[in-house]
Amino acid sequence: MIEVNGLVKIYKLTKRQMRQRKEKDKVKIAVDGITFEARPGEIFGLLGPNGAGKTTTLRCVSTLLSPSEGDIRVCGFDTAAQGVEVRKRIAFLTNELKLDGHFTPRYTIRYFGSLYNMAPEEIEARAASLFKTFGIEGFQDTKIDDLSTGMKQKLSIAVSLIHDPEVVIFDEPTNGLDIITARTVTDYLMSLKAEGKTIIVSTHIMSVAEKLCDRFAVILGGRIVAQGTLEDVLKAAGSQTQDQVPDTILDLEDAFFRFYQRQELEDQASGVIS
Amino acid sequence: MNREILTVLRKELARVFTDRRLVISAFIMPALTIALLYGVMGVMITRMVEDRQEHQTEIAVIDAPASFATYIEHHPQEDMTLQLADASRLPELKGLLFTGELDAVLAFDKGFDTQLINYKSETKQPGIKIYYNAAEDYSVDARSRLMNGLLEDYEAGVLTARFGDASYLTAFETSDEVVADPKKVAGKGIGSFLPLLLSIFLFAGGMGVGLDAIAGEKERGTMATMLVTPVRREAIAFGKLLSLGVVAFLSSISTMIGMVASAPFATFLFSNPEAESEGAAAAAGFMISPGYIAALLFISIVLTMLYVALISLVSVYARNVKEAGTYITPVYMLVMLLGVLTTFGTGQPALWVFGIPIYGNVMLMKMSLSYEMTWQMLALNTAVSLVFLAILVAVIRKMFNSERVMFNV
Repeated sequence: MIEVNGLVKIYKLTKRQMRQRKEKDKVKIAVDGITFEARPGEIFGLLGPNGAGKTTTLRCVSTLLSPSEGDIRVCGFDTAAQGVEVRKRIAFLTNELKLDGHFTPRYTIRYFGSLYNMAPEEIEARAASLFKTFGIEGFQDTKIDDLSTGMKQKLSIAVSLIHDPEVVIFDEPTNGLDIITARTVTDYLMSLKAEGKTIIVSTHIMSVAEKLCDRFAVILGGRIVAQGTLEDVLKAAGSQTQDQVPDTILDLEDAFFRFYQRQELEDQASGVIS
Repeated sequence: MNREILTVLRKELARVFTDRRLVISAFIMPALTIALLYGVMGVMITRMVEDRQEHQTEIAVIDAPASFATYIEHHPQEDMTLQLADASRLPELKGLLFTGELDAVLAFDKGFDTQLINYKSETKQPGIKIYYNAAEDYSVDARSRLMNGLLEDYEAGVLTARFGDASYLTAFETSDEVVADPKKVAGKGIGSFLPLLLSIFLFAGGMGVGLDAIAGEKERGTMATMLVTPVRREAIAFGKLLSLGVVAFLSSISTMIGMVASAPFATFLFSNPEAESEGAAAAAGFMISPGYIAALLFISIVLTMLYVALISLVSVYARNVKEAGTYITPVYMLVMLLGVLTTFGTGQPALWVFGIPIYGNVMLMKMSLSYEMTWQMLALNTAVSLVFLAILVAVIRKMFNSERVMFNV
């Protein structure tokens, strides 16, 4: 269970960062008061373009960043105050997290298992089953540097799941994966869901989200503009339009662009150039 | 917590010791480089000294008086060739001296012998002038061979002829005898440069691996992978600090081994003119006491931890290895400067000097090597070092918990 309640994340920019990003303000509001809930046995999708605040939200949920306002509870533990308890129960995966290429998959998974305070036998059993699922068995003793990109990504996933976490947080799960690896990953997420895990993914690929997720939150400019099941989101996209053309909203992508256009119109009306 | 630190420490050490590139650069290269450098320097210097000793000095003698010519005839000089020349050739000979083709010109005053014989009635003593080229080693040697050898002997010959016995001209003889603790004397020779070298080796050893272990991990995204595990940030920080300490220490020991290996060739570095009179006994005696080794080891370990903490601090703050390299350079320069400063100064330094971090530590090592260390020095320096270390570690800890530093946001 993940409960995000009124999350706000504000970055203070240094002068150098302001110059680099050509920002005029000293602070950047990355996430501006979002509230949602991801439940066990479901896959929750955060949808939005780059820079909408998806990654920041997920980093806050994973305890890597602390919320500026609001609070987040994972399995009942507060991410700011009980970070260690939260990290024991989650797997956080993004493309930015890498494994040291010098070690072998076997050494790496053992090391991470011991960081989760697992017993050696427990690590061996769990590693064997994960390696089997992701087809890494034959490469256990090959240096990670010598593995193919797809194999490295599968290994990253396997390593992050070594402690059999209750909550899986996945930032852009299929980004950069080849079609076969992507399928392995989505299949595995479905099986985790069947086991009753809480899964939250972020993506900007609407077709992936539509197939994978049970519920969604559409994030634009750090705010949630629509939330619920596919039906809820499609309905929301149709109902609030000034030029009522609900038949053009056939899928999530159409809905997303409707939200996006509406946001742009609002921004223009308020004189903000995005 | 302790178990977590140990897990991280083990992995960090495995990272270094199973990586051939790192093993070579941290442990093998320093030893080889130092052994080779000092060995080659030693051989070259020995060869240079021998060459200068064996060189046949070429000297032109202008207006040589009959007494000198006779003296030469009876006392042939083995290490020099003397050729007689006329005074008119002086400018030409000076030219040869200038280009290094000639080592010295020995010019006698006109009427040298007459003046010599009539020394009682003459108002002016006869003169000899040596022309030499200060830019040429052979020429400098030629001058000293003339002054301290040939001309001295020739003068003694003249004086003997004049008075019957030249020893009448000396009123007394002076001699000296060294009274010193041979350990101290031997330690002074080694103590003057060893602490500086050890300090630099320790820092360089830690730097080689330290920048990559933290800034490199941040840059490659492998640090973030560790940060999402339940391990406390402090455990990661301490595990890395300890492993860096071990690596820096072993690396400096490797360098020391290289230095010792070069010792037979590099006598210029290890020989101590003050201790030579006491001979090998003093040199052999200085290493033996276990207390001595324990003190040196303790001081080195404290210094290692200081350096490792400094390197880690810079490494955590930097966003990537390149940036870390830029930030560490001034720190390295400072460490070298503080080390070099300890080689100057005479006499016993004041006690407060040992309260200066790094400078005090290197100075303390120097004192320990020359058997001049007191308990007050050791206590003050250790206390200050531990406080300084605690501050560095507290800052590192804070940085590990800072999202801006760890995620470059």
